[in-house]
Parts: sequence; C-alpha cells; structure tokens
Amino acid sequence: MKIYEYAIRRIFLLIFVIFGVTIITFIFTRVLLNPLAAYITDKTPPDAVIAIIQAHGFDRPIYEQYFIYLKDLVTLDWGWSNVGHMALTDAIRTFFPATVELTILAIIITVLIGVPLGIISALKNNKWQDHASRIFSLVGISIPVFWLGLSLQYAFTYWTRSIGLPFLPSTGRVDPLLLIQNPVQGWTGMLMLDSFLQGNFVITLDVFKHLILPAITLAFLNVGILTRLTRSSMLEVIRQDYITMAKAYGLPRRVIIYKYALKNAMIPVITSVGLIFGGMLGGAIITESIFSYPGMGWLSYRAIVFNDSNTILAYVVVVAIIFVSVNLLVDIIYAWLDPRIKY
Amino acid sequence: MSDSDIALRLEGLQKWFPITGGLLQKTVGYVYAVDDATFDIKKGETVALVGESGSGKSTVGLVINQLERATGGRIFYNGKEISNLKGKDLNAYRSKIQMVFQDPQASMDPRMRLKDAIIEVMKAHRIEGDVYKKAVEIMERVGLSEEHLYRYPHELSGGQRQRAVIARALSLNPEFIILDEPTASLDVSVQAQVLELLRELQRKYGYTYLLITHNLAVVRYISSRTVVMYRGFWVEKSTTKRLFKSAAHPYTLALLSSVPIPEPGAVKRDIILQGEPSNPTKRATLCPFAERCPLIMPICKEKMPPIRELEQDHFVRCWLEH
Repeated sequence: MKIYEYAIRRIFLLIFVIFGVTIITFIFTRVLLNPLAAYITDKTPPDAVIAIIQAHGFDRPIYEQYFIYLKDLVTLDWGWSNVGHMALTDAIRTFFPATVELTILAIIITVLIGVPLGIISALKNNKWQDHASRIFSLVGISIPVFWLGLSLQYAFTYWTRSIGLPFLPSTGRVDPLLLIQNPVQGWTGMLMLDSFLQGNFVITLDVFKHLILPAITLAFLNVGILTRLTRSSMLEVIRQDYITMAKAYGLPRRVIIYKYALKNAMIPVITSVGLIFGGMLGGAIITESIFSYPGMGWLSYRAIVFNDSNTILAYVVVVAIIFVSVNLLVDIIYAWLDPRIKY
Repeated sequence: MSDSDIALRLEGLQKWFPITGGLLQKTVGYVYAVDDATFDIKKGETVALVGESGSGKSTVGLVINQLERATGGRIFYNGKEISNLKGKDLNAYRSKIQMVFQDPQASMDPRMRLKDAIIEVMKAHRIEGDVYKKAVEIMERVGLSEEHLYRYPHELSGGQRQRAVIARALSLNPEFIILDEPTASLDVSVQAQVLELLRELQRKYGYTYLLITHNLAVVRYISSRTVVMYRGFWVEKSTTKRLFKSAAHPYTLALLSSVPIPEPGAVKRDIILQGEPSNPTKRATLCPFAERCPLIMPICKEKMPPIRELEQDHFVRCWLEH
C-alpha cells in the first residue's frame, strides 16, 4: 500500500474516532451537566425557560438531541460559549491560535534543549555531563508545573522589577494598550505571526515577551522527558553492532554519531515529540491559567469551572481532532524515516 | 617461518575489563576476559580461534581491531606494533583489518541502502576512482548483483545479508579479515555457501583470515591452523589437521568429542565436562581448566602449567604433557 492510500484510510477512520468521541462526551455532558445553564440566569422568566427548552430540543429523547447536536456540529453551528462571551466557533478561532503560538515556542525550546542534552548524556555515558543532565531532567520531571510557573513569575516579573531590571510580563497575551496603539489585522489569529507579517514589530516583540515565561514553564517538564528518551534511545543505538561495525571500518567519529547513530535514535524521539506537540495543542490548562494566557487550556478550565457544557463539548471534539491528526502525521513521518515500515 | 611472512603476531595479549562499583564508581575488580593470547597468523592463511562462550575469543578480535584497547601484551601487524595508534593512523590500520560479525542484520544500519553503506565506507577512506563501479564489482565478487545495491538490509535474505556485510568489508581492499562467528546465525545450507565464498575469495585475492568460532565443523572446513582458548588463555595450538588427529589438551579433546560424526553407526565417545568455567573476575593463577578437567592431577591445583612444544608447531599448556 502506498503512503497516500494509508493516509486516506486513516483520515477515513478519523471520522469514526471523532464520531465516537462525540457520543461519549455528549452523553456525559448532557447527563452530568445542565445544558440549560448556558442559556438561562436567575432572572430568566419561567415561560422563557420553556421556550428555550423547546427551541433547543432539550425536551426530546437524548438520541434525537444527539442527532440535532451532530447536525449543528457539521454545519458549524456550535452554539454559544458562555465563558468565551462569543459564539463557540469564534471562540475556538480566537483561543486556538493563541495556544498554537505558545505550543510552537514551547516545542522549539523542548527540542532544542532536550535532544542535544540527551545526545551529550549518551555520548558521555556515566561521566559528569551525563550525571548533570540526568539530574536536570529528573528535576524537570519532578517539579510541579504550577510551582515553576509561579516561581518564574516571581523571579522574572516581581523580583527583577523590584531591583530595577528589565522584567517580563507575568500575565496575558499582549499589552492591550499597545495593541490599540498598533492595531494588527487578524489573518491567522496568531498575533506574533500576523504582526510580524504586517511589519508591526512592536507587537511582535511584546507578544514574544508574554510568551517566554509560559513557554518555558510548558517546556520544562517535556525537556526532562525528551532528554531521558533521547539518551536511552541513543545509548541503545550506540550499542548496536552496526555502530561497532562502523568503527571497525575506520569511519570518522563524527560520521558515526550523526549519520548512523543519531538518524536511528531519532525515530522514537520523533513519536514522542509528536505526542507532546498534540498534548500541548490541546492547551496547557495549568500553565495557561497561571499566566492568564487566553488559550484553549484557559478556555476549557473556565468552561469546566462554570459548567459551560457547550464549550466543554466543543473543546473535547477539537482536541480529539488535533490528537488524531498529529498521530497520523507522526505515522507518515515514521514511514518516511524508516524504510522498514510499510503500510 | 620467516618474520616477513607473518601478518599478525599477538604476544601475551591481555584484556581486562574493569568492574566499577561503589558511590564513586571506582574500579573494584576486573573481568579477566583475555589473559594470554599468543599466536601468529601468516599472510594468506586462515587461523581459527576456538573456544566456548566467555573464553575471550571475541575479545581478541575486538582488540586486534583496536575497538578495545589491550590491557597488556603486544600486537604486531606486518612487523609494526599497533597498540598505540591514534586518529588517522588508526583509521588507516582499521581499513586494512576488517571485521565480519555474527549477525548480519545487526551489522548494517537498517536505514541505509547497501549502495550508501558501501560507498560511504569507501569515501571515508578516500578510495580513488569511480566508487560506484567499484561497489558493483565488489557486489559481483561476493555473488550479489548491482540490483542489490539499491536494497535495504531488511530486503535481503540472511545469506545475502552476510554476503553484503562481506562486500562492505572488502570495499576497502583489506588484507586481513576477522570473521567473528560468520555463519552462526545462518541456515545450515547457507552456511556452506558463505564458507565456500570466503574460501574462494581467499584463493583469488589472498586475504588472511582470523576465524573466531565455536563450531569445529567450520574450523575443519576452512582453517589451516587452530588456536584453542579457555577462559582467556590459549591452551593448545597447532595445524588444524594435527589438532583433529592428535589433540593433547583435555579441553581440546572434550571439544572434539562434541563434533558429530557424519556416519551412521559410528561409535562416539563423548567427554562431558562437568560444571562451568570458573569465575572470570578471579585471575587464574593455576591451570584455568583444573576445575573441570577429567584428568586432573594434584599439581594442576598448585601451579600454572608450562607451555610445551609436543612436535613442530604443536603447542600445549598442560601438566599432562610435561
């Protein structure tokens, strides 16, 4: 089977996965949460409540409700997001690009630190470099995200500010005042990219500053995971016969490490980067909440706290689509990297 | 035998692997993998190094190629000591000495086509001329064709894969090839083909082989001289013919008795050794084989046996022959 045939088959299967996800989340949200909560307040008159119930079909059997929901889902009529104060499709359009921006920066940090550290750790196995990097990754895995986020805020916002050093913003996505002075047109929704493309570098820099602390917080845990994975994968490959063989052929060390060892060691690392990427795209709930960063994590956190079943449903569907797509992408990259894999 | 005939000479080669322990990872002991390997290999001949697992025979191969540095003893290649080669000299030496390992699947990068694997080795050693043409020529030498150059290792059969590994070793025009269990992972039918190929290559191009194996049938088929190793020491060495006819060391006898006789009804007397080789982390000061020897004498447990030349070119390390 050719790779594109495989991709098409997977995309076809993806539809069923999403279908399954919607059934489960739909039942959970309709049973556990009050679907009316999004539409009424204490002051809504009783007859209006009845009208709302009828208008949204809440008085019908649950399977009928599900098909109504499915129809709305396909026609992109996703309803209202109470916590987003806008239509859900608009909310996703606003919050998702913010998360994408944060994710890209965080994944760059993760890969740029995690992979080289893992390689050094493997090449200097049991030397001080290895011990240092192992301690670093253990710390990374062990530190609670909320503690790291708060500490970074304390160190780089309050403390640097108090002694008169330049400081990084601790919350938000961009300085709103600055944005009013230098308006950016929403092309992709990714503020940093849009402002950069429009030559609005003041905003680009400001968004970047806002991103640094949350991105480091988000990256830190994953750096630890990735370092360990790269290290063990590299160690495993280095012990293979074909590496000994390459040495026996008298190939230069540089060629052995980069051409033979690294290429083979990167296969599991890429899978894991893909999964980390997918996970991050779903929104980092704790990180985004600490930094009040208006992304998917923040939205979903508020939706859960405020019983906003509409938003939760939409959020889960979006995350499911992202995850399955990222997985598909990883599988395709896999086949491209490893000639032994045939689909 | 004049010295200029000798391709490789090992003199009291030792390789001890340190055991580290404790908080500070200090060396707390050694695994005495090789404690005395002494033998010569003439140009163009095949010497077999025989012994059971853990006898140190593979380590000898690694040390010859300098994949492991010797702890003691000396290695001469074409009369030159090679134990302290570094950098470019080492790589140049390694291009003369090639290795073929047991598992051809593991010996090749799974993500490289044969073409790239072979050409890369040639380029690294700056082999002149049309490397692709040479690669094709080498493939034909080992009984493969140009078409195989475009395959990945997993797209070859076991025998083809071992041929490809041999081709890769030949691509550097080596003089000396270390064959570490070259047929152990192959089907019996394919084993014979690969051995025949190795013999033919030797006839045509005059390669010198060091064959490391536990398979005495292979030894008899291909090697002209044989060195038997036990727990890091050579215990007997002679021409293969003589060794198979009149072995003197009890360990060699036990090894030989384990070879099946391809004749129905042949009477075979197995010498079954009791126990296992003694702990390799303790250095042998008396005969390393004493514990398992069926013909043990009191003196064996007191002193290391001396080396004795029984007849010309037949040496044994045993008290029995003293």
